[in-house]
Amino acid sequence: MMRPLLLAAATLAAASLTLPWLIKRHAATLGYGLAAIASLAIAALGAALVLTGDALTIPLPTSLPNVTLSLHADPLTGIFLIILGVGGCAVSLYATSYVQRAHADHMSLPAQTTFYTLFLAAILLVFLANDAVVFLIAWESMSILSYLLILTHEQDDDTRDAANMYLLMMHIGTAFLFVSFAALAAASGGTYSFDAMRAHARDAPEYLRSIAFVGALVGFGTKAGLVPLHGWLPRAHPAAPSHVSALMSGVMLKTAVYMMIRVGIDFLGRGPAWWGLTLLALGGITTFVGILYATAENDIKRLLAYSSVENLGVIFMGLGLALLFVSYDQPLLATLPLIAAVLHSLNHMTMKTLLFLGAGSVHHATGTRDINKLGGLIHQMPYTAGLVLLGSLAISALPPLNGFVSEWLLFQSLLAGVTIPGTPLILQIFLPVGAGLFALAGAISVVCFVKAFGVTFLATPRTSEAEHAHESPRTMLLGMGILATGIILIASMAGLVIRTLHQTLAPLLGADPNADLVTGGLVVQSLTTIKASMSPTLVFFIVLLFALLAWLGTRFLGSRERARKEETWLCGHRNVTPRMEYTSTSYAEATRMFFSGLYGPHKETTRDEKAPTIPSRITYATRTTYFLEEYAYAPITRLILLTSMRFRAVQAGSIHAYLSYIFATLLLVLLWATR
Amino acid sequence: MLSFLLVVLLQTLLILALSPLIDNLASKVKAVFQSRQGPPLFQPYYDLWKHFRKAPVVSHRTSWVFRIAPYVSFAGFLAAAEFVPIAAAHPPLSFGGDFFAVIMLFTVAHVFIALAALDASSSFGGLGSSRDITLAALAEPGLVLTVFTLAVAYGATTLGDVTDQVLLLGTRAITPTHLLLFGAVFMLTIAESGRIPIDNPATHLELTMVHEAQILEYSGKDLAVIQWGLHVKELALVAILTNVFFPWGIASGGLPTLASVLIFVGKAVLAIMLIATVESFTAKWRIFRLLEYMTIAFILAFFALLSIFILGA
Repeated sequence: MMRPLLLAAATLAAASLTLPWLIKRHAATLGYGLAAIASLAIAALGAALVLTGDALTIPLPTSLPNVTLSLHADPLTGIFLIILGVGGCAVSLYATSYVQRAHADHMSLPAQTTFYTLFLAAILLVFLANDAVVFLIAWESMSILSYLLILTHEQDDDTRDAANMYLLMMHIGTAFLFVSFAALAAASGGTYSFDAMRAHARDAPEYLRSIAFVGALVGFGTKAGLVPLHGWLPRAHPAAPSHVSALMSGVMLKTAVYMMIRVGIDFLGRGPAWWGLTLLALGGITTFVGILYATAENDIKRLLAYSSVENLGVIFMGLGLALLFVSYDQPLLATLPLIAAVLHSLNHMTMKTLLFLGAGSVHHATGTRDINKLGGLIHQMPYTAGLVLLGSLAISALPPLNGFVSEWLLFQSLLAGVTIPGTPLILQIFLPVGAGLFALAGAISVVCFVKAFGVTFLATPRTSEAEHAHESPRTMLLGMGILATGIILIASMAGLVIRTLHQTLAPLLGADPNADLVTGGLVVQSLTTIKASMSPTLVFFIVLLFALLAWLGTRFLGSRERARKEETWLCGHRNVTPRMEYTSTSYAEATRMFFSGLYGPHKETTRDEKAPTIPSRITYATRTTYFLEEYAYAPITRLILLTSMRFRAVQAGSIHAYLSYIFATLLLVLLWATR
Repeated sequence: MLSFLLVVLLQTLLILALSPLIDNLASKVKAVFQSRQGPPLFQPYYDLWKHFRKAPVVSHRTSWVFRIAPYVSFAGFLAAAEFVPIAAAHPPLSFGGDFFAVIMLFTVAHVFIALAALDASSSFGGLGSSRDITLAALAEPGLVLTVFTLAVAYGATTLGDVTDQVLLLGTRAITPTHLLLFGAVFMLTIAESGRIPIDNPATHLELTMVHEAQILEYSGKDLAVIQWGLHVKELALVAILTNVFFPWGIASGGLPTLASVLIFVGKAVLAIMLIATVESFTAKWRIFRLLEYMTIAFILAFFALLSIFILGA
């Protein structure tokens, strides 16, 4: 059953690559439509892998001696294939009408769909790779294809800068991955096969294992946008067309999570405590920094990108805790944070993809991404507003939705860390305080998304663009609807999802997959000595039920009169204008004031005065200091620029010089090889 | 199954019936401090009934978010209250959520009121919304650290199990940890219920309003639903404050008895007297000083945690 599904996906992808070139009139429908069906097949493949618990291996033909290449998928891969399949399907459907409406394209439609489908295929290959060579090729293709996709709709200086920075950071990250895989290969007898790494990397000398771990952490951390390697993410993701942003944030970032689980847990196994602690601390810092900047942001897509940084931080906190518990010989306990991390990856795909698609609809309907210029869109775009509201509530980790479930599990995991016998006292204090700060980050994300949704969609339109917005076409709504359904399904059946994840993930840690985590398919019980139970399903249904009963009660028992429409009350003022509303900037002002030490806010007020007391014109500007960029990135950039100036002498531009360089290098390599 | 549903119904009715009374006690006690007579004991019931029978007046600028917000916030508070031991330690639905879930359900209600406040396009709404959500965010670290410390001290994050453990320990439960945590929860209860020094429930002055500014646009039966939800929240907060720390007299199973209900009301009166005393003898703090207030609560919870390790070792 699995092979036909993969074959079907491959065939559909091939059709999606060729047909748009042949039938150019329907290029977008064909290209994206076929990609959507192919994604669906991938999702089905993932579901089959997870539900059956089987693995799938496909040998690849190779002409190299002594090298066998293959593709491999196990249940863990299956989970991420579901992420890719569902995300890919929704985004592709959305793109069929989104891209047709796009203007000022710099690339023909068939070229766009081709790069898009290839990008999906590269992500698939990353998940399926079973050796370092195939993996690195897929990984690089994924980066380069997404670089090209960023540049499809706009090619102004900012977009180019963002794309170039992205490509540069990805290459630096990949360099570290080379180091990591070289160390893993050395640890497993010189082969680059993942099977060998899984079998031997655990017994390798400690220094090799640590090199492999740190290399993976930096390499995959760059992809995931871990602070301080996050600088590219809030630039590159918003610069892309919205469907590509959605795919990059919702799906591509998860490749880093997947590979971190592969390398950190599957290959390396039990490591020293500092691995987990480093990951946990980096994840925590990332969560906090990400959400602080997201809240201060006024550009809706940059806000979402910073929120992605935050969510990846949450996921890496889960991974860090899992590693930490494994190092304390608590594999059963380690399943809890690992489930939290993987569930949050799944959740983040549904929520963030939905929100980016929603932002794309808003951008299309109004032509702006500045929240301060929007407002009142709920009246013109009721369906988009409803879907974005659902996504915003879910990503703020509010019950009864799915973000709450993974966040709850992560809290319980942090708590579990305190109960492990033999944990150092410092950790027993560090974990709860960390949890407090994590809670603060979660609560600030509520501020962030109330602001983002409220100022964009509610109240009165602030500009004529917002006033004349239009609802998105049906396919775009359908794409978002799929993701919204995902949110509701995970939320209402969280017990089932968690049990499945538990059975899939426990074997990776060598833990018992049948331990009592979920009883009766309803209640999530903690694995620790601490009594904790929560039933997402119950919470989901009683909140709905109570709201419904309250509504029925007031409708039938309360006043039967219809509501009277009046003007908003403003101390008797009759001229209510949009200028009286709170804007995005003013909404976040309270947060900026409370955390002014972290934001370093700058305010500039200039007054043109006719008379000392009557200003004729006041301009007010406010700006956030990006400490990391100003104090960490800028010096490094200067250093690199300075070094490259020195190297300029070598780059003479003469072909003779280059030929002699090649000759000299060759000579050196030969000398080294025959020494 | 049927008897289970019956107990759920009973519990829900208890919450709904008791909550306006508990909330009114605070006004009564405050009135006494101010040498006033104060509202009649059952005034909130009359108010709810009055609003309930009136058709709402809504701003023509609002959308469906404004229309559903009262019901969702009511449902959020009520669902949270179902998980809190009020007159019995293990209410029938208490398996469905722990202290974290209670905190987050409160947040759901906050979020919908905050969104509805933005919907009417008035500056008051935005002001209240921005302040309320930000203050709720600042209270969060202290709340979560409290849940953590409770869990380390009493081995549970479900409130009913904490109650059991405290009952089991008896007077030995009264340790420095216990009292420090009570201090933290007391401060956070004041913050969460929007009382002085955080917010002044009696004010309608734009510079000082937080919560009231958000519901300014509501009237009629919509207002009744919101108010009732707030009463339920108040009841849940008082129940956490009294039953988690001083559970004596609570019915041990899932079914409340008449005696346990009366004892709870008695404990609530004491707790509310304490809250009202603080309210009567402090002034409202400047809004940007509230970070200090929340930090003090956080530090109390942190000291409680430290005291476990110091005293336990």
